[in-house]
Amino acid sequence: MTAWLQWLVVGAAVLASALVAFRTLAPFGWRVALARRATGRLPDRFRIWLAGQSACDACGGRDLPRLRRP
Amino acid sequence: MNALAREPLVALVGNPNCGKTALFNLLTGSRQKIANYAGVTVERKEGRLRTASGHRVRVLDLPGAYSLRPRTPDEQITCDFVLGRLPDERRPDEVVAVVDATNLRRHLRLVLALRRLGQRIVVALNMVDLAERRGIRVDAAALSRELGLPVVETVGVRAGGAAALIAHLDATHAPSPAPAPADASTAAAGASASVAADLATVAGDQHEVERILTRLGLERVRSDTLSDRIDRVVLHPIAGPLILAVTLFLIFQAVFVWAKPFMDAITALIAALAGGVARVLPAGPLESLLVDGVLAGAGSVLVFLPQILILFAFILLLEDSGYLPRAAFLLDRLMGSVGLSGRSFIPLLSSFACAVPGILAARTIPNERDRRVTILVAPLMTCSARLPVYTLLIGAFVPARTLALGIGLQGVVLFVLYFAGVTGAFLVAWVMKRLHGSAALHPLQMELPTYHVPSLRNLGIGLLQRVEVFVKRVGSIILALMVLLWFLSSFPAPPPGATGPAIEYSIAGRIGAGLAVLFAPIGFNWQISLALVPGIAAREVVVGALGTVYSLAATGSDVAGQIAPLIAREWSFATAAALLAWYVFAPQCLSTLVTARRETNGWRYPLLMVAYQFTLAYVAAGVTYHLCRAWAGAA
Amino acid sequence: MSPGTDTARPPNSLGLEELPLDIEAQIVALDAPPGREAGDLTERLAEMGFLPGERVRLLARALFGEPLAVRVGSDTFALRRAEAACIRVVALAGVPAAAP
Repeated sequence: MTAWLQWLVVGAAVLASALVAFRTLAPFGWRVALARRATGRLPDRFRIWLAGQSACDACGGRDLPRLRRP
Repeated sequence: MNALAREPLVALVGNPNCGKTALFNLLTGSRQKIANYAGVTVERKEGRLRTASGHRVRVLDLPGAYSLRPRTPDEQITCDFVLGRLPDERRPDEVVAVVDATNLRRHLRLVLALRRLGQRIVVALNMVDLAERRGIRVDAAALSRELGLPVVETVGVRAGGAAALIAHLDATHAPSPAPAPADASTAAAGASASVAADLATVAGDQHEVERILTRLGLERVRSDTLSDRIDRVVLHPIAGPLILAVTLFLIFQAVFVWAKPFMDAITALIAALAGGVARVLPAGPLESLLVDGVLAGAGSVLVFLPQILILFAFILLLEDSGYLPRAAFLLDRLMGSVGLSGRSFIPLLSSFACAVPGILAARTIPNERDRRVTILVAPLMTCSARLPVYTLLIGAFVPARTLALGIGLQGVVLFVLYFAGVTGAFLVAWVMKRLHGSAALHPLQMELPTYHVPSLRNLGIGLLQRVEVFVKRVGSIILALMVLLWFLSSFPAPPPGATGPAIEYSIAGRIGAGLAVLFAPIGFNWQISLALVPGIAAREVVVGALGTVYSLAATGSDVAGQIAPLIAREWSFATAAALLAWYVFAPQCLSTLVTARRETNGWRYPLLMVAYQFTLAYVAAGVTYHLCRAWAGAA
Repeated sequence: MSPGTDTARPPNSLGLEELPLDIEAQIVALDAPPGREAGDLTERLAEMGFLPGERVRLLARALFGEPLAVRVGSDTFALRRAEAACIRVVALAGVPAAAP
């Protein structure tokens, strides 16, 4: 595998990890604010994923915001 | 309104522990937690039922309530909903009044109260299988005549046990053009009148129930004699506490002994994977990410799955059998002496799994002060996320010696750590009691349900859910944090001609060195200090973080998933003991703080939680470290 | 007249907490000590099934005499002594205590 391809995979992994960490750990308000601001610029599915459930496993996604109709 | 609002809305209402959630799971295909004690469900849960003829019905599961006059936050939810007082939800189109067929005497009273509301009601005669086994035959048709309400028989814990109920809902909720508009206002008027029910009404209802039961030939009370015989031993003032202590002790022994072969297998698998990756990929950033970040980091957390499952198997068995409220009964006096009540026991016990559901379960505590103190001390109960940290350190530093009678030393140390957490909780509760003064009479009023043989299906579902939750956690947030930590620990690269390990020149290495100043007095080196940071997100992350940090710092070819021998070589016993003491008390969990904020409506309690936990952790770790050093020096 | 305000204590009645173990008794009245939460307490007890006329039995006392495990109908509840004291009972002599 060539060196630049390796760096590409590593970079993608780090970026994806940062997104997952943000989604899981950032306060609910921040996530929703970000997802709202990205309306029209990012796909709906991705925005809903990003706003996602809160960090707790127990709530079962009860906090899921209704983003499709801002 | 949209299609969602037009779907018929059906709510399950009933006394605590009559099997509402089991029915809900059958109706909607959900996997909500069920167990044999009052107050498992503390929130409304929503699901959808698709009937045989293709209609969709929204089904709500509500917390159990003894009456329509709420005493606790969880009962409040149920009452508000049934009375149509919730702002974001309309009144249900039909109430499924779930009653326990073995105990119609009490459960029918709630049905009578519901009937006064002018609601459309169907009675689900649940647990008919248990009733028949006990010789109680309830004539559903006769009961229906007497109540003037439709009655269907159900068995919540058996597949297909809700068929009659589904057929009923299918027939009554065929899509109708529009609901009668007058319906809501008249019902609401009826509601306000009947909520003013008092003792006389309860007594009147009791006479009515008596009359119905006599008509059905069920006036003679039959209790479960086997349950009584068990209680004679289990609730005995001397034998009871002994049985409880032995049970808990054996659980911790099993966690260590039974998990060993499975953990060894997972470790070997991860090591083989790491070897494979190193062979296939050339040395470079990708190989380092996979070996040091993914396998050494997230992989080393996965190793602890068997232990967590064994612990949960025992907790699920205890929950399902009906033993838990008995344990609360036995410990009530002890907890009362520090200002907690037996009602706090089940929320605190849930916190052994995770503090988040524990804090939610505190809603079943009627007294507000008790509820807040319970929430405050819940994080001191040793949650399952601490288990990997404990077992890693115990495995590395405590010899696997057998003491007398086949009792392993490692299991004993684990027991002591759990015990230390409980002691800490009692201490904090006691201090709170001294600060706020003791409140007056706190009612206990806790139901001791009939024992059931635990259902293997329920156990299997519960364990599968734990596997799912744990693997998901490892695969998402833990993996993500490990990749980020790997990145921060690898860059920037050391300047040419540097001598030490590369990680010391990285961003993470510098952060670690900075934090080490704070933690050096309690015996933590810079690697531990660094690993504590991502550990704030979730406790078990610290294990993965140590794996990544040491894997990167190692110059040789130390295999991933094998941090135990590494730290056993690098750390002193005093450092390991101090880290254990730290983890007994430390506020290392964001979800807990967020939940505490939500449940107490403010930052006061979560901040108090962080402050006292941090102080306790720092002091406990410091004392442990210096005592161990002094002891080692003297020896 | 609601049973909760029935303060007339029938002769021979005793608080449930004084009842010996395994003796069948009948509830004659609910009678909370006067206080802010008295009505609430008796009401809740009534809702759980502790109503005049019902039969009760003490199944167990924990160490140090508290809490009590009380059988009412086919239910078992754990109560504090103070709660049990609100329940006035008369022992039913000669009735076998064991369940059928």
